[in-house]
Amino acid sequence: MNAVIFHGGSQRDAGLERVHTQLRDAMQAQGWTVETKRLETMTIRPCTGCFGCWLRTPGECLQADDGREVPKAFAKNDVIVYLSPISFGGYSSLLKTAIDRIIPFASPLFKVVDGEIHHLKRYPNSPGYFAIGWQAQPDQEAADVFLQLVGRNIRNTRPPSHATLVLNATQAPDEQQVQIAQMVRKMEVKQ
Amino acid sequence: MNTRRFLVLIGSPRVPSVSETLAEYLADGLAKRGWETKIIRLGPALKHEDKWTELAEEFRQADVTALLTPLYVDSLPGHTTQALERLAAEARPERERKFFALVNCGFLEAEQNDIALAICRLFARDAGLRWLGGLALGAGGAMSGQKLEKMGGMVAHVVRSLDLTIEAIDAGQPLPDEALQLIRRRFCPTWLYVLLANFGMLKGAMDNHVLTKIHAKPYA
Repeated sequence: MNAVIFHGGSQRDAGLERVHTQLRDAMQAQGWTVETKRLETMTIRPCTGCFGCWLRTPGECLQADDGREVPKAFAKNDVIVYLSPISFGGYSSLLKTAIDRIIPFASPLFKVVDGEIHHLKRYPNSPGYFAIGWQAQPDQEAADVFLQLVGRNIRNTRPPSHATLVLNATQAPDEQQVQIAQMVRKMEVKQ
Repeated sequence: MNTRRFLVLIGSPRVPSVSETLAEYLADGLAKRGWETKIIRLGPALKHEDKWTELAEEFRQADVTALLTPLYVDSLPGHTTQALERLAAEARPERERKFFALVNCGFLEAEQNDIALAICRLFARDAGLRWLGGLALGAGGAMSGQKLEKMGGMVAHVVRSLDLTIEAIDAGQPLPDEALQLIRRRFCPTWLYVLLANFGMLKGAMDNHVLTKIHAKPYA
């Protein structure tokens, strides 16, 4: 039962740090072995859109930096959790730069899924896909876009289990803890 | 009357890129109508502080700014998001400034860009810019590296949409529905696009002598 948390925020954000601690503790209490990748301490260059990971060294990015940890984490873990401040309804730039490096996890070839074109899977099984968006102030419009975005990611990766939360700094910590615990109970081992 | 300024921000890291092709068409169209235009690539600007300073000044001066970018994993590329975060942190404008976006994806369905456009709309809200609308283009890869004017009938609807966009910008209006709908029109049937796109990928792998490894699993 292995899981990775991709932390797309700053360690200086006390509210988000508390959420991270609650999440990690709740997962460990359920028996998960959890590794947190703090993206602000890693060197991940932007995807250059070169398609080298598809057409030159299939499955591996040409850039030899920490960005290679992203597809590796997806291949080797049962569950992935994105923890991110919400930026205009999307992931933080720190997390999004890392997510862009997931491209080698997919095949370059296309197929139609539910009437829409998607990439074939390179690996037979995807990990469970979980996301927590964090807002310093409640912003329903941005929260709605974030939920739609994660929904599209889920449609693309077709994971065995998934859930999304939007939390904000005005909520009581106990309330956040309850929601995080509910999310953790949905996490499953990859088949 | 003062010269009006149009700034295009390019989110693609590639050179040449579909975004750049479309940006040049928009900028040329407005230049012919007397606008001062500028095209800036975000990637290099984020790497060099002097280039960022220039970009920020152009952004402050522009009457209309456009973001032209590819879709990366269902939303804006990471470095494009970083640039928008920095621009939104600037002081809110004292005069009305406007913003629109054009997002293109490698899938046939233009709708796959809609969440990225919603993100652009929220950037405009947070940066204090008036949102003029979002253009969504599918099958962008089919246009890569070519001048729009030389691509013929296949992109006639794209050209018409951009012409309507230029007219609206020049008139100080939001992008018209006709422009937003026209650019979404599909180039070809889904089955044909999948066939052609897969052929292109397989040929690329064959040219690089990795056809038999195309589904390699280095992290299995």
